Amino acid sequence: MKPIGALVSMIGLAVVAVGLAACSMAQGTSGTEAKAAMSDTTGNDWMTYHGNYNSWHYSPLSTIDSSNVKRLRVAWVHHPGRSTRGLQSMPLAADGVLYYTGSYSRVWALDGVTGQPLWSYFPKLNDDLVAKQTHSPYTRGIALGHGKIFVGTVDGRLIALDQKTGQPAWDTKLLNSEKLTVGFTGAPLVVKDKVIIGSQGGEWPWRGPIFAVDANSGRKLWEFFTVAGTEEAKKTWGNDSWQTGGGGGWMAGGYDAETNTVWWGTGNPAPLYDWAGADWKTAGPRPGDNLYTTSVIALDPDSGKLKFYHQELPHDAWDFDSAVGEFVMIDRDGKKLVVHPNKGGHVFVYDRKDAKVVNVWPLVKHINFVKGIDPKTGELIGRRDLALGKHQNLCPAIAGGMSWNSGAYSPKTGLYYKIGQEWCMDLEVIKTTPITEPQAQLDIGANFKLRNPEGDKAHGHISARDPVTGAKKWEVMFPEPPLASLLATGGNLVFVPDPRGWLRAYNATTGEQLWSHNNGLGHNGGIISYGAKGKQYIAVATGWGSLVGDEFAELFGEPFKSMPKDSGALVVFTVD
Amino acid sequence: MDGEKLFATSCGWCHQDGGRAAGRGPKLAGSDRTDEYLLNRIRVGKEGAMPAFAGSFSEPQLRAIVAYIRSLKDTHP
Repeated sequence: MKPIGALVSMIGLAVVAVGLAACSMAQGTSGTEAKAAMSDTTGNDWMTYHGNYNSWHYSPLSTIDSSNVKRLRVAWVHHPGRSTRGLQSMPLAADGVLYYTGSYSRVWALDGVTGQPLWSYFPKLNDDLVAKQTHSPYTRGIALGHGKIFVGTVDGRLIALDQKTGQPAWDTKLLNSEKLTVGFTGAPLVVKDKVIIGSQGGEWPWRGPIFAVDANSGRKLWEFFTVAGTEEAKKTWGNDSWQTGGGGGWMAGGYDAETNTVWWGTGNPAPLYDWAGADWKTAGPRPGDNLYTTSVIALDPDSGKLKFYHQELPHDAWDFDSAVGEFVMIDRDGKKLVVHPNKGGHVFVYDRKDAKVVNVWPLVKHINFVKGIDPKTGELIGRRDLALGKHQNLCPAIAGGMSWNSGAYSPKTGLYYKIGQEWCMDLEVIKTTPITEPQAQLDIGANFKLRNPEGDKAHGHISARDPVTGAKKWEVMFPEPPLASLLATGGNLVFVPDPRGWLRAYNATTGEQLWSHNNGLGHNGGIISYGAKGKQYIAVATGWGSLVGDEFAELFGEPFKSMPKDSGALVVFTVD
Repeated sequence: MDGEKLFATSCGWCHQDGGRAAGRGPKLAGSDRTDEYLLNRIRVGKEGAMPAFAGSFSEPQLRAIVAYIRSLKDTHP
């Protein structure tokens, strides 16, 4: 067999070229970070949560293609144990070694060919705090660079491990999680000599900071508050409500090396629901636009200063935050664009130089929290603000039209592959006692129940679309929304890990299903492709249980009623 | 102490329709668990399923939440 590098398609090489160009713009770029910018020169490695700085979730490897995918078979399996709430992590791969996290921020390095453990690291966590956390104890990923692996913890620490030995290099406490309950569940992002990580926030009443830490020493360099991070933003929170505003940046963002800009999505404000209804500008628990919640923000990684932003949903009153979703960087007709999905079900397309809205298009059918979003300006049209009392058939449901896992973009087809979720809910907005200081308490403000959309059944779909216009090329319907991330490859394949436990491969151009395999447990995490010793591998996390997946048992019945939420494995495939 | 408000602040996220229906968490209306069991579950939680709220709510607040749960009519099947 030829080395994988020789099998990378021409399109794959084009990807590399783009990455190299981007890298050359970044000052102080290390060899590892150069790989992160472009998914390395061979396509063998998967260096960041989103695959590379372009957030494509695309591997240029093409050994596995439509002609041989039917022969895809399990190469090895790794069981991390204690997979409370399933495995939600995105593995990384470098130089034939696969790195990934299980629940409780446990980290493994495994031989990419055999699955043999090379080292493991289990951090000691504050068990009392773990017990307090709604989102505990999963960890969605790690970052790699400067000879280290970086992992966040739910008790507010960022830890660096030696990439070769797994020995801790430093362990920095960034958040007072004991008071605030929030910690880190998302993956960090290495940018030059810094590690950037965002905290949880949303319905937890604090200010949801994003941090930069020196990759070598572990010293905190800066902190940007997603709630009232500037004086301008503070004015958008009436009655000092910024002190308990929520926000956060709980998923890894992206990096545009050409302009030295970190793009990050922010969480929703607290409380989730606002009894002021249409009077939200002047009344209710958080009067005003509530900057910079439910926004995409562009930060200077060197200073932590805000460069520009776009608030996708001013005064988000539905929990449709912008922390979900990848920042897909593509060039089109001489324009440098970034595509970002919002939990409410719309996909925003921005100019990378200033976050000016280029287009907005809906991915899902059942949306009525707004009548629409102006595709030229991003302005919300016909907001459905929810006053005190009962409301029927709000769409999408709180679980969103899209969830936190990522879609994929293939430069080979020019298509963007993304999961859509079709469901609604009835709710009653209740005027709760305002929370006026940060504390360990959820701040919701409503009771609700998920339901089928009027005239339809709750379901999900994968569609292949033009990422800029939203024009649909093909679509596959699923009886329940798939919740895992997607993978596109240079073999013209799209891999979809589904909630019932099937991993499926589709022709990326036509949507024809080419292969499937039952992993025996729902998928709710990451999937990557990597190369080792001349072979291409597909690695997928299995395991069920999350705040979205927990809805499935009541809505859809079996197999979710009996699906365990404390299991999970990393399953790795190849062809002989 | 208003148990309904407290419930809508922190509990209704998982125990749907104000605790009247199953969702992320179980239905609470008509629960055959004892008051002490419910109080203890709210205090210490259940790993991977429910947070521990002992540090968030006072004892009178915890009892108000349980009183609210007991007041719910069991209407959903």
